[in-house]
Amino acid sequence: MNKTQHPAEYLFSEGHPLTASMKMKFIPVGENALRVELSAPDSFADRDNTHTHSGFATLLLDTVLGSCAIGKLEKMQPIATIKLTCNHLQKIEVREPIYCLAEWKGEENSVSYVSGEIRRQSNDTVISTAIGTFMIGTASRPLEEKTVNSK
Amino acid sequence: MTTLFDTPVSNWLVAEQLDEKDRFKTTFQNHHLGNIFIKSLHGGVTGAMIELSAEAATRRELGEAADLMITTSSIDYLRVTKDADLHARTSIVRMSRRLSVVDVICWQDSEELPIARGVVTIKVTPPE
Repeated sequence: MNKTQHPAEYLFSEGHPLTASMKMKFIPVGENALRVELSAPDSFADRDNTHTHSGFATLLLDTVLGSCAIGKLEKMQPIATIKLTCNHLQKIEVREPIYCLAEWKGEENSVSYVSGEIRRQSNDTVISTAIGTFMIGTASRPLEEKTVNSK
Repeated sequence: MTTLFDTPVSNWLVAEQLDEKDRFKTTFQNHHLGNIFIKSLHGGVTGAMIELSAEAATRRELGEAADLMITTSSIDYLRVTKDADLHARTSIVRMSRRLSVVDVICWQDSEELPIARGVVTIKVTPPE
């Protein structure tokens, strides 16, 4: 992993089957926040073919809020979303430049709490907001151990 | 206007409505993975499927031409997922002139072992 790279950027690299095509740009903001910039992909277009389905915003929020939680881990280990609540205020236009800003709120009892929102890059209008709750560590082995063993 | 299951997003999810009126299915694809090391589904894929299923259930009641806007979703993730198909069953809790509230349960192996549940609120705009 590149030392200037956000830990989640390592996971959601160009080799990741879901995020590879999204060309997400990870920008750490201070100690507790993460900004991810991208253009809304064509592949999530809704019935009108000009806006993405809200499911894309939900998927993006889960990705970025989870990534923000990963950035606060003391050692690399799997996390799992245990709850995600989204409000969708507006629709995203296909290919529109947007960003998702997530802020880590804290961790208690191996549960990490993160909030975030999607906004338009053009005028910062709020598109969607979310609160995510993530379990730190799973029954699975740590990621680094798996990476080494898989080589 | 195309139907919900003939759109880029449903093609990406490989989502379909089954013969049973409240049943939906996503056929597993590699790009649905979140954690590639333990081969679990991305939580957002499950979330997107829950929202899509809730919308489809509402359209089934109101017709394809209904003007709908998904406003909120709240999803509980109940079990670890794996690289397999995802099934969903919807239940309309309340349908008024302006809102549709839909419960969705998702599973992989068995409906008795749900992997997620969600409630989706959809704004319905009455025709002018």
